[in-house]
Amino acid sequence: MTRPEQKAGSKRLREEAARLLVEVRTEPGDVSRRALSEWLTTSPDHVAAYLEVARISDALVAAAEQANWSVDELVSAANAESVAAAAVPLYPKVAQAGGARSRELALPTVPRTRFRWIALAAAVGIVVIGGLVSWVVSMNGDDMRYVTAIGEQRVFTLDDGSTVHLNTRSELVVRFDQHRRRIDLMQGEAYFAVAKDPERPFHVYGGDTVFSALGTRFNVRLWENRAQVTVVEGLVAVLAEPQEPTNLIPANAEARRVPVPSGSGPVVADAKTIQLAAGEQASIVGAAIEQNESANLDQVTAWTSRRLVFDSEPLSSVLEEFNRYSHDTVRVEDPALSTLEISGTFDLGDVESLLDSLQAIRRVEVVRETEDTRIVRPRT
Amino acid sequence: MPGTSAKKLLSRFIGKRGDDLRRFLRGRLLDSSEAEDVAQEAFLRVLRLDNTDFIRNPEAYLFRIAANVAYEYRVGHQGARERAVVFDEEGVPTDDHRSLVEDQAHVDTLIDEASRALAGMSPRAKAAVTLYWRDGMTVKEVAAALGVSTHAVKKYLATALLYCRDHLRDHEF
Repeated sequence: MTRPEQKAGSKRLREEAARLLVEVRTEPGDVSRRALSEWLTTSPDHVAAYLEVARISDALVAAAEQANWSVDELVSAANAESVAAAAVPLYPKVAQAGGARSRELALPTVPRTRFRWIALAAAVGIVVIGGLVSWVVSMNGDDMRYVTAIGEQRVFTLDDGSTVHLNTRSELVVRFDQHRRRIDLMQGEAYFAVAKDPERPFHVYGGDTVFSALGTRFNVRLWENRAQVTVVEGLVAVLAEPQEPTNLIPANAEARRVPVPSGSGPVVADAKTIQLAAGEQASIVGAAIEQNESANLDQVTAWTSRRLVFDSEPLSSVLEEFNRYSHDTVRVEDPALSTLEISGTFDLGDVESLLDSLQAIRRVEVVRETEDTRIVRPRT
Repeated sequence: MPGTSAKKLLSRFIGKRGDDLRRFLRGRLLDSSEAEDVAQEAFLRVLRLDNTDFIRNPEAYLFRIAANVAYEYRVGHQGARERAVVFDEEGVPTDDHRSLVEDQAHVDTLIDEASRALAGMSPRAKAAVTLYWRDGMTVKEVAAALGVSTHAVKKYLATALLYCRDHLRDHEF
């Protein structure tokens, strides 16, 4: 009934869903509703997890309604549980400080509320309102600059209702005016869910390429000399030389779309402008565009739910992918080991589980080379 | 006690227009591919909503949309034959008598199984769930009764959901 690979990240999603559900029901208000809204609009997987948990909560509430235990019974049974087991340390440092200060744990204090929200936001993997101040590193006129550090991801909603997921170590600038919506992706990777606005085209500048969209969802990733765009929904025009686009896709673009030549393997287009539909991907190096008609969308967008998905990829590039999210890098030098093919779904912050399974199935060892570098090599 | 708290509980749970949504929530669990399709489509429709509307009450919007999508899905896939609950545009189940009877039986066993899950929880989780949902205590009151923080109470409530979910899955719900 369940496909194992698809369920890899779902336990964590259910935990987040349960936490949000409890928060939105016990603390109804803008803060909890906003957190839930943002989380739900992040991914269909989140919606699935929330619906499942909501159904469970309905059954559990009905069960509680029918329960016959008296309040006294419940309370004394609960109090009989050892205090140590029940302590949920809110302030780990205070808890470690030992008996003299442990009394503070039981006292509700003002910062507690704030801490809870920071904890929730961190757990959900996004920064909820209030964090806005820290996203916007600088503002110049109406320009807004958003930056993420290594391992950090952010989701934010733009003035027009479009949402942007910003991946690890990325930077973008938003410049909206009456006539168009311009975004400059300076480095890294971003996923855009573009709100429809026929009056104002949505243009993403990445490297020397412009991606133009009208109500669509797509992912843009930059390498040093290459840009890659993957369309999840709708239509995106790709312009491999920077120029000032006015309106690359007319409102009735669907009808007038030029069919892409069919055939297996990548298509290298001569034209400087191509249009991509859902499921299509293009890599741009200079003015050359290489097109892939059947991109693995789950793989490309997995990062927005903090997953990494690999399908027969060499260990060296798998490790590079993990390294994007961490200050602690892991490398592989041995040629045979570098090309070892890896498939699977991982939490993007959890390279250890990959290393553990490698060590379990191959004669390899992981050795620390410098303070922040480790090497995977054949065991001698 | 359960009688007096039922109304309060229901409104706390899904708001004023609870009945049809409750039926949706209590319908048979979809199998995973159905659930995935419904979630996918519900997600897209949520994105099409005006964001400020959605933020105002994300749960109500989500459940209503999902109920409609599930209905359309079933009509589209199997002519709404054997399935337990179907919904009209307003999210109200259509009057297929046999389905509703079958649905009620399903709901009863589902709640029985959830009761077994609740009975098997740790005393603190069990107390938090019952005092909060059945007796209508606030989180603060539950925290005071159990001598723990409000954060801990919320944690018990969330953990109880996950526990109950695993229990129901183990018993093929």
